[in-house]
Amino acid sequence: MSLRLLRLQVGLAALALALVATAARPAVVDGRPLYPVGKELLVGVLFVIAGLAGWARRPDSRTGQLMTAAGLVWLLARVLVWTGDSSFVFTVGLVLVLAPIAFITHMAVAFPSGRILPTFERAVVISAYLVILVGVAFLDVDDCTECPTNLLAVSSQHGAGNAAAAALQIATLASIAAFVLTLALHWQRGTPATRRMLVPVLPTAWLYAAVSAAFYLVDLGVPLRPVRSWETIEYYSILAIPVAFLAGLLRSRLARADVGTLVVELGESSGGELRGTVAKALRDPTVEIAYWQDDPRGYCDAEGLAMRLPPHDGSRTATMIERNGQRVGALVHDRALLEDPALLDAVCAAAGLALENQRLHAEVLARLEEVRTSRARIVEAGDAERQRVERNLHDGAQQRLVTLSIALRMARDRLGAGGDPSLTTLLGDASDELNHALRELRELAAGLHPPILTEEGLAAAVESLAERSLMPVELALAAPGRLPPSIEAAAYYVVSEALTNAAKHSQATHAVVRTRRVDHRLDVEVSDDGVGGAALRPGSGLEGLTDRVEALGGALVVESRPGQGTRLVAHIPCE
Amino acid sequence: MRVILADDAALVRQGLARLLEDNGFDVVAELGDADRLLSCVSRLRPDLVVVDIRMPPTHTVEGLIAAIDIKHNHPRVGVMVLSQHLETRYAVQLLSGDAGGVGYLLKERVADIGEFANALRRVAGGGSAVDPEIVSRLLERRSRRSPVEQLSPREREVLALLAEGRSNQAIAQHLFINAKTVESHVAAIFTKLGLRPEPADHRRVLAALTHLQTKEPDPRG
Repeated sequence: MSLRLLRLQVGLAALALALVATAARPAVVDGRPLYPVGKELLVGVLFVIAGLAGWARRPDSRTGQLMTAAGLVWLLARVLVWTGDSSFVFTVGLVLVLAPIAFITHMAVAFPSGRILPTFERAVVISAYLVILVGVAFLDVDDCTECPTNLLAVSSQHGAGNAAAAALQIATLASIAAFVLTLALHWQRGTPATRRMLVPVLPTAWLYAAVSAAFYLVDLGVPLRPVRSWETIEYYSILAIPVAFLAGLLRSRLARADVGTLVVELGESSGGELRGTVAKALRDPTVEIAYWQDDPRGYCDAEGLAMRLPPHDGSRTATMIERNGQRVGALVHDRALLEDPALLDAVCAAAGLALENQRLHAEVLARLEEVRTSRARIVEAGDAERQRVERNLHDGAQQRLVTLSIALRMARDRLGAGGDPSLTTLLGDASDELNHALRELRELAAGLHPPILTEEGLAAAVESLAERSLMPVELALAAPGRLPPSIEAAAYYVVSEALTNAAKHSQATHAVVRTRRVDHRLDVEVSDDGVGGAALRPGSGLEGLTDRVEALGGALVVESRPGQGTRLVAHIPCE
Repeated sequence: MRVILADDAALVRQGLARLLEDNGFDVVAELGDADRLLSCVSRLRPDLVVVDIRMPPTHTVEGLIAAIDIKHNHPRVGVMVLSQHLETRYAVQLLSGDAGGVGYLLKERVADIGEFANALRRVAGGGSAVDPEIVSRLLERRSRRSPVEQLSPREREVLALLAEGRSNQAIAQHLFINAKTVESHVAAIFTKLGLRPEPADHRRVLAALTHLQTKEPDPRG
């Protein structure tokens, strides 16, 4: 509570005390019994106390202020009526005696925010104020003989006055009925959060309305029994009102404990359950979460569709969620929740944590996906480049060398048997050298990109590898069937690298290659009976293989204990 | 001998055409792709087609497919497939047809025109020619358990030449031994490898290749 508010409240409390003292003075001085006076003043005091408490706890709600005002007016009215000497003061006092009834109507209709929104509700409240003001004219003060004159009084003894009195009574009854109906609608339309606060308010307000209605019905001649006890009921029902309103205002506080549960649940739950968890903590099943996007969409729902926040004066409202001064989203909720800003703040903070967490999580996933796809693209681009170079070698250098080889041959033929033997030898040597070059080029090209992999698929390419291997290679290959080129290439290079290592470094005498389709995965396994001890060293062929396999979302496992051979298994996801 | 050449590499094609002309072949047509090859063969009825395996549009195995088509439609036309790289399965595919008269050689073999011309004549005559590199690759795979290990060095030499598509007569000349001896070697080889004796040359080449190509049995059982 701010210091200013505190000062104001202390001042108002002091004012209330002064009013009580002033009102009670004549009775004390005259030595009259204090009980009826105290009983009357207690209502006003209770209103002031409850009003100030509600005001302090719920500064955003006007209910507390209205209640305080009602209490003060109640006390002031007693002061004016009991101590007023002039008719004017007395008449003003009479107006004020009735005013708290209009305040109560106002409070109940506007509960819990204290603000009145729809036209119908406004009409109900205005009619309450009018009825009170006009009602003063018909206030029956005949039994108070010492009292000054009611300046506004209209004699109800005359025919016209009588009719006016009856009309006013009927209007008042209609006003009470509208009041009761308004509260019923509030309940019906209210979210659990609203209803929770209305629970103590409704019955009290209705009871007071019913008792008031009964008085008017009796005045209209409806035969209702002993009016005396009703006055007692009326007294207690009006006494219950400040208590009930304060209880209603404070009820939302009880939900505070749920925030702790909320934080715990958010920690345990996955993102999708955030709304449910928040709704539970706020006791408002209609809660929606708007996710803030830093793009033209602005606020979005969980599905990513653009969302509009409700206007500020509607029955639903939005509370911003911020983290470190950055907007991360908003809670769209029942307006009644504004009555408990502390609860709302706590839930927003917890939700903010969760949203921030979700956002970071999504961001990390997106980055990861980006990295994965870019890795896959790099491998694919590398493969495409290798294929292009192989094709260029084939169409260019290899063909030219073959042509050259033909030309050399023809030169040798032209030289014939009679030619310079040294030249013949020279040409022959050149041809041999050229054949070496062609062989090396062929191996280089095949190493760059094996054409059979593109032409016939993985199984044929692995068979070809096995055939070229210097050691016997046993094959157990999955049923042939083409796979995406990147997957075939990865699997091929796993086998190729493993067989090369087995032959070059492992002194293996035998190797086994297995390929298997397991669900949506291709497993490629190469094992040899060599010396083992292979490891993933930076820059090694195995590292390159790992990159290649992982770029496809797969995994490469190397088992190579010294003396126990080497086993290489690649798990590559595929559809 | 009338020959059709199909190769998308113009320089090689022209060089090869001249080389063949120089060596007594009659090159009746030169093509740069495989599309029109079959119709050209139907029209010109050559004795032999020399085709590069890799040609437009996809630059994969167009030549091989064309070769198989030609053998299917014109069994008597010999087809020699040339390639920059060798795959045993393509040799086996070529030889698996009913008729002989197919060859599969590395492209650079053309420079050794004597051997190349021999292979061409053999193929045109219904025999077969398999690149020595394929045969040696298959034979070099050392396996103590392979029945090939039980062959004598001479028998292995005979097996290699036989798998290249050479006739007994040619093997005899190549090894400077007499044809009868070659026959008995061949019989011994087939017995040791557990193969049925095949009368037609290309059949026995196929039998030898597929035997050698068969995956190794698992030594661990």
